[in-house]
Amino acid sequence: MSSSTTCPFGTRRTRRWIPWLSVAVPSLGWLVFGLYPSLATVYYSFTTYSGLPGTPMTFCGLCNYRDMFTSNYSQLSQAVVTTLEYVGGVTVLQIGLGLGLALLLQRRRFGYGLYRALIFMPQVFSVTIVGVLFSLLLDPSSGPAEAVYHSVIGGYSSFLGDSNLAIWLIVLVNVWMFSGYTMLVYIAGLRRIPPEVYEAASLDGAGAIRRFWKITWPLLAPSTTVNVFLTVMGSLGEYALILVLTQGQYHTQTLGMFMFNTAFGVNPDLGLGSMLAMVQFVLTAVIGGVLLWALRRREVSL
Amino acid sequence: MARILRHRRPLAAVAACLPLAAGLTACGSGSAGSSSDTLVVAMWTNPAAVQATQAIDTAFEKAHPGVTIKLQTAPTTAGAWPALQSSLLASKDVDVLAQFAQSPTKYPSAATKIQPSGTAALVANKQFLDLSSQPFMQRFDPATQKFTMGYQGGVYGVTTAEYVNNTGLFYKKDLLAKYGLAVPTTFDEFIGDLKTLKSKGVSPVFVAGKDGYQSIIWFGIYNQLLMQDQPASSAVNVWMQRDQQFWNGQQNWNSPVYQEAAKRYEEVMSYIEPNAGGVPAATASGVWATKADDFPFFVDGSFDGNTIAQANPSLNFGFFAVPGADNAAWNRADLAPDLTWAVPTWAKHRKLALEYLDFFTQQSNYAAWIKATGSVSTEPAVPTPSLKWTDWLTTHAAQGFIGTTLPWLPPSAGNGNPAGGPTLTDTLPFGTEPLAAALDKSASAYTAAVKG
Repeated sequence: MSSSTTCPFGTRRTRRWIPWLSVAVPSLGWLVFGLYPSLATVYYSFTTYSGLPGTPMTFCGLCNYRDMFTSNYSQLSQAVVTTLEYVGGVTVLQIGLGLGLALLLQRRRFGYGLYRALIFMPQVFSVTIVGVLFSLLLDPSSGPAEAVYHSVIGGYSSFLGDSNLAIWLIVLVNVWMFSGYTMLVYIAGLRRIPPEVYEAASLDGAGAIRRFWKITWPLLAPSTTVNVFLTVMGSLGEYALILVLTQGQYHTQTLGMFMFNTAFGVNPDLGLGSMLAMVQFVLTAVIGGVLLWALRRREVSL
Repeated sequence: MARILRHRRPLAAVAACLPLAAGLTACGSGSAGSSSDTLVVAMWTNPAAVQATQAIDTAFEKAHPGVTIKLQTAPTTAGAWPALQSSLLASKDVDVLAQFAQSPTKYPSAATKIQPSGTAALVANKQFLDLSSQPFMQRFDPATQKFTMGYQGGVYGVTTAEYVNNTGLFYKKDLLAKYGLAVPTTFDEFIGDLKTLKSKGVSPVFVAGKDGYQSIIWFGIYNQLLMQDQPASSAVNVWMQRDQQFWNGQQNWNSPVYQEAAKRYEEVMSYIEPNAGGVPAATASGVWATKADDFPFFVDGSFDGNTIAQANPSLNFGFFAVPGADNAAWNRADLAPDLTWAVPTWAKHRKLALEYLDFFTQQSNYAAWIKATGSVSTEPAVPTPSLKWTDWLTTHAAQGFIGTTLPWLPPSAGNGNPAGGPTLTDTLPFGTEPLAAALDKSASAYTAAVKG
């Protein structure tokens, strides 16, 4: 039997370039849609450029960085604080809820699959659909939330128009959308824990809470790493949900939203917007790096 | 057998690629085919204006066999319109593009080193055709067109709509009559009406606070105060002088006129619906129209008049300018030139685009369009339509002045910088900060930005 007949595809001649072609196509895609925009963003951050066709692009060195850290520093710092509040809120709630749901729905019982599918479903909705849906629900003049709030708590709320409340409502919407994904990752982790470990612990007299803290939680460390890392990275760059729900008003302007409004708003300033993208890149790299180091360290120590 | 299979595999691969290739080719030829006879028109979503434009588009297609108009729209909320506009400009795939009208203040003097931004940047960089020599421009008042889209002797768009935006206030005639109140003409009368209505258990003022429509009162009052004792024709000079004085440090956000406007704004805002901060513009006009027995006043621009009428055809309502000053004669409408059609210099169908604008602005088409939109006419030969809610506008629009909002902003001031004025969603009653304190903060930011 010749080697050509055992090869899954291609001839002796074509097999030489098929691997290169396989690499070339995604590489080209990455160069055009990944590397080029990234390098362009770095360059734009050193220019005054509106992004509108026909308008001049003037190299200005560090002008955008200087302006942002002097005359616009209060907006930048507020955006960073809002981003950290948002990331913190989403991460804590999403991990907590996802784990709780996973513990409840991990078993293979009749109907559990349907519950898991229903909880996962918001993930597949587009952000626009979710944004419009919650805008209508939370509209204090015509949505149902106001009536519930008024009858349960009393008084009135502006919901997404309340500076103290708006960011936390968006956190909850985000958690509603993505906790199903967190739950699935945790369920996969829970099913990898050998039942014998629990049986041995039970024989030793360990109760449910003790079993959770001493067995489940430590052995879920790899799942926690994945969930925490993905949640933090995803929410650090969030702007789409905020754009649809509040447009960054009422203290909801995260760094991503600030960048979007600056680069693509009514009076676009792509130079300044690119500079904000650089700040976001540094923030994401630092937080992501520290987080990964800490979570991996925890996995190893366990 | 193996040999046959070896040949079949590439054949199968080719066969599998054919639909993809065909699809790609179809996409390519579709674009090329459509670009030959499809006029791309883009405008922001104002339901009445979109509907009226679609009617004109259909008539244009009928008058130009073989031509198809592709109307692209996006709402101005949630950044959708700027996103669509950016995408169309970047792809150079639009022939007639709606722009918000500009003003001479958008082109600061060279000494300031401020580059025009947004639409003004496109005009200054010759991205739009100069329409000043087009025959259809003779249908319009040249002064208005020069004010809105004039730059260095050219006119780079045709402004077809004008509304009362800042100062805009709708009212329910039957509710005012029920409580024995007249339409107020001075600020004291207005506050008196609001007090009376509140004492009767009515929530006096409704506003789409989530989308910042409270600015209509803020800009409206300070523009009326800045324009007091001035003829409407001097508005350009007043605004240019204001901008120059800001730049020179002779005026700032905490100057007396803004402090006075802030006091009045806060007084009006103390009568708004308590949860108005969460009300979006998309639903506000409909909610106000259907709640016939509450909210006697509604802060909104005249562009929503027909939307209100459609939402509740039996509602007896009117429209007037907020009386922000003490003298009735000063409480004029702050006119906002609005939808302006521009033709990009690189448009694929420039000739057809100009024919479209000629068709759009023909008296019969234009008259139907402004009637449907409730706009103030910018063609002297076409009267502003009389609708059931435009009685005040019909008699008072002519005395109105063209307003602007913000002074020149130093180039170092980014998006949302307090140098551009207070953020009303952060100030009382929507936020926690008193407007006077926000004005001080804005004044400091403006001074710092100019020095920077």
